Amino acid sequence: MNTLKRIAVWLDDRLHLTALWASSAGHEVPASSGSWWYVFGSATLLCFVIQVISGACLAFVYIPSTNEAYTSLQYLNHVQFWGWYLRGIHYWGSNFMVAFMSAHMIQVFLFGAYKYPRELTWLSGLFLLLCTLGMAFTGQVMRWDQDAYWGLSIGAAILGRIPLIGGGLVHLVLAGPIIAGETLSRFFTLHVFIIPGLIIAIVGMHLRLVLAKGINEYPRPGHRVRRATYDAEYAEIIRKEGVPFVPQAIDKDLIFSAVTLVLILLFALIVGPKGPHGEPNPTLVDASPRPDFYFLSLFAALALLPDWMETFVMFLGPALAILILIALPFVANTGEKSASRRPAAVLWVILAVLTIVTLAWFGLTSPWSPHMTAWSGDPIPAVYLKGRTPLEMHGALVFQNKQCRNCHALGGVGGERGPALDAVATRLTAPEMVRQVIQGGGNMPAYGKKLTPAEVSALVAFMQTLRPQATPPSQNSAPPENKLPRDVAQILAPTAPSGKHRP
Amino acid sequence: MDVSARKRSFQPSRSWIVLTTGLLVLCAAACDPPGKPGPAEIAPENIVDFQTLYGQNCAACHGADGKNGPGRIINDPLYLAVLPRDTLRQIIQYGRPGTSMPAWDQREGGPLSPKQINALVNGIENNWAKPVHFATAFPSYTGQGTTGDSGRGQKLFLRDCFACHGPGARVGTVTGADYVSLVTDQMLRTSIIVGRPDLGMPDYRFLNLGHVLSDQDIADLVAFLSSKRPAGITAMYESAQNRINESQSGQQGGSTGQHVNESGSGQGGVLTKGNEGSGTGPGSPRQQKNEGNKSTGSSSLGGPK
Ligand code: HEC
Ligand code: HEC
Ligand code: HEC
Repeated sequence: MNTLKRIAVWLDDRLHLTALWASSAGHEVPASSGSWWYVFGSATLLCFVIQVISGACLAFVYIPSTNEAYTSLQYLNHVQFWGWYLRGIHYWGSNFMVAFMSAHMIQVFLFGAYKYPRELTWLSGLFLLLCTLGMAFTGQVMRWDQDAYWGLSIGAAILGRIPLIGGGLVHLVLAGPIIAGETLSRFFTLHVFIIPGLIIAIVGMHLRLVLAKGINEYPRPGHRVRRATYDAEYAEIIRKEGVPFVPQAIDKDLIFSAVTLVLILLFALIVGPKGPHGEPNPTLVDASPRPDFYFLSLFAALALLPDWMETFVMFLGPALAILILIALPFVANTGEKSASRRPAAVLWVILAVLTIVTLAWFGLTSPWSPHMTAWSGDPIPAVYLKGRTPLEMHGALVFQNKQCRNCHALGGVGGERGPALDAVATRLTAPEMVRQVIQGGGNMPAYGKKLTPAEVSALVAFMQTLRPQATPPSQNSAPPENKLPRDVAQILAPTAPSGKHRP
Repeated sequence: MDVSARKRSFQPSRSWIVLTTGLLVLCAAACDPPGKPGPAEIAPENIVDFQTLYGQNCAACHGADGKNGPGRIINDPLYLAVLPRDTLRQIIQYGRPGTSMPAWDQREGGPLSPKQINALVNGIENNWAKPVHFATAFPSYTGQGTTGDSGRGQKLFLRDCFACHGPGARVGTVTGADYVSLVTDQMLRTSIIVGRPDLGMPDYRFLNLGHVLSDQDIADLVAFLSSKRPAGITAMYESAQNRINESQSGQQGGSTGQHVNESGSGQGGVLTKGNEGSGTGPGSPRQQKNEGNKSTGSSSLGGPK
């Protein structure tokens, strides 16, 4: 006992642990900050710790090479004892980390905590957000499957839009002009060394600033921040109602962190890890790849917006948002902190959250990528073929072969990028159909030169039969005997009407 | 509070913990949590199951079960008896350029590997081919060597097809320039030989009220229908087919395959596809490789490369 104590005292003498403890865990915080609103930051930190631990475990098995990345994930999923669970934890840990980080940021914004004197705390937090998104993005590349490949190509396209340096940046990020083995090595290095290192460093700075400048007091409406007086006011608050962070103010953080941990473990257990969905193969753009949820909104915006807005949304949009967030603590440096006196701030948050959530919802539910296999795999419903003429039947073949089915469903099967065409004949006349097919429009490509005149007439003949309870046109005609002479003449016509049909 | 009382109150909670942990461990060992990934997906290029391959690549056009689709019926014993296996492979590999039948071979820009095409050919033959017994030999698939006379074909058309394909008739015309432009002569020929049993068109044995259509009849009919097509398109189809034949003979080397007697062998007998058992027919039709090989006669003479 005595020896132990002596060792402890010796260590403390060398390491100044008690002093460290007193100045960190034991430092005094405003009692008002022991609120349920203040728990998201610590929950984010917990997620990060979980990510580091589970990530290190994954790295024991994962092989960052194009040939083996996919196989090693399959190994984790199917062979390694509970390897899938490890992947699940890492996946859900990242989801929760992004979610809680966003919640933390919204809280900080609404509570005016970025104002004087905590500008740098806000900035470091902002960089942490960017780093975390970087982790999320590089992380989904680690899966090295269809989704990863697709996300990467869109990411590269975004960079490519940056004027002047775009091309060079793409080259830098992909380690070459195209996505290849070097790309994976590069992203692996980013994902396990560079960005985590940055995060650890910035988290250190972030916490140091929290200690140095103190945790924001719970804002009181009408209590304005003034540069000249704030520091004294804060010192006064600490003096009057300051409590040591441990053990007085930490209880809610602990409870929330425990809940977070349980949630991550449960989600990993019940929903499991994501993918990998099929080895990446640029020639097989099968399935409909979807990015992880934190990028869904951006990707949905890209898919839904007209072309001319793409550059703006892809590049200028995010750049502008980041600039605004950087400028925020300097522009709105003083004044009201309480959300109840800052209606504009509340509106901004609502607007941003609504935009991101709706876009993400669109991205999740809307069929913004065509069904790539519908054209060869989805049979035409039998009712749409019954009693059709050979030309109409062939129209159905053209319909499949030109991949119209990838965007247009028939009988509820097929792509949903364009409207279902089950009753298109009730909406459009034949000339209107011709125009739609030749010129395209909306989000439909123009088929103009890609169809021969005969194909167009077959297509339109087929689509003209697509109406509820269609009757085959030929059935309405009189029996053949009655009009034999004229028909015979028509049928015996030596060649086809010239001009219309070119090879 | 004395020690024993505290102990008593502790006991149930400890057994509780032991019980729950035990259950959890059991559960973890025994049941699969819902989050556990299912069996790995097979990469698309490794699928060799016939039903899957057919369902994903052909069902849209040729019907879910090889029939009742907008495209040619494949699941038909007569058709498969007439169609040589090599030709089937060739059609799948190269498609029919210019028509709605795409090429499937990876080397032709399609999605399927040679292994997968093999699986398709074998699957089609094993699942859908059946011996067909008929008194005379079947017409050859390509009808190569027989020149059609479109004037005679026109008369035959009026005799045999008009009731169904005349203007205003039940089925609808097959003589419109649009329709004929979309299909190859081979497709027309196949349609006359095999009909559309799934949709009610009889095959060549029954089209002429019980008289079998001869090879010449079929060729004449095709020539007639073909004459409805703008000449440029016909030429395009022909040259595409010639290119395929050439690259095939280049690949497989030489036209050593036995030619099936074109002008109706007249021999009675049983002709079945892969007729190991019967052995009485003139043998399985082989692929015709030297159609239009005048320009590249040498290449089609070479042995296997
Ligand atoms: C990339 C997806 C895509 C493909 C491929 C595609 N379409 Fe469309 N199509 C659309 C979209 C989207 C619309 C809706 C356009 C609009 O809102 O103006 C549409 C509209 C139409 C309409 C009008 C429907 C209506 O009810 O007004 C027709 C007809 C049509 N397409 C036919 C075709 C045919 C025939 C093909 C094949 C040759 C084809 N489409 C291929 C996406 C597609
Ligand atoms: C008993 C009626 C009947 C007769 C007789 C008949 N057919 Fe048909 N034919 C059909 C039916 C039914 C179809 C399939 C319906 C469709 O394709 O719209 C068809 C389809 C066709 C097709 C198109 C096949 C395809 O898949 O595109 C051709 C070509 C054809 N017939 C040619 C002929 C010729 C040539 C004759 C005369 C030798 C003939 N038919 C006689 C009923 C008939
Ligand atoms: C997009 C529609 C489409 C798809 C998908 C398709 N086909 Fe075809 N197929 C056609 C058409 C159209 C023809 C007739 C071409 C012609 O005019 O010669 C055809 C012809 C054929 C023929 C020859 C018929 C004859 O004349 O004897 C065979 C055999 C065939 N297809 C097999 C297949 C197989 C096997 C697949 C799947 C790997 C497939 N097709 C997928 C449209 C399709």
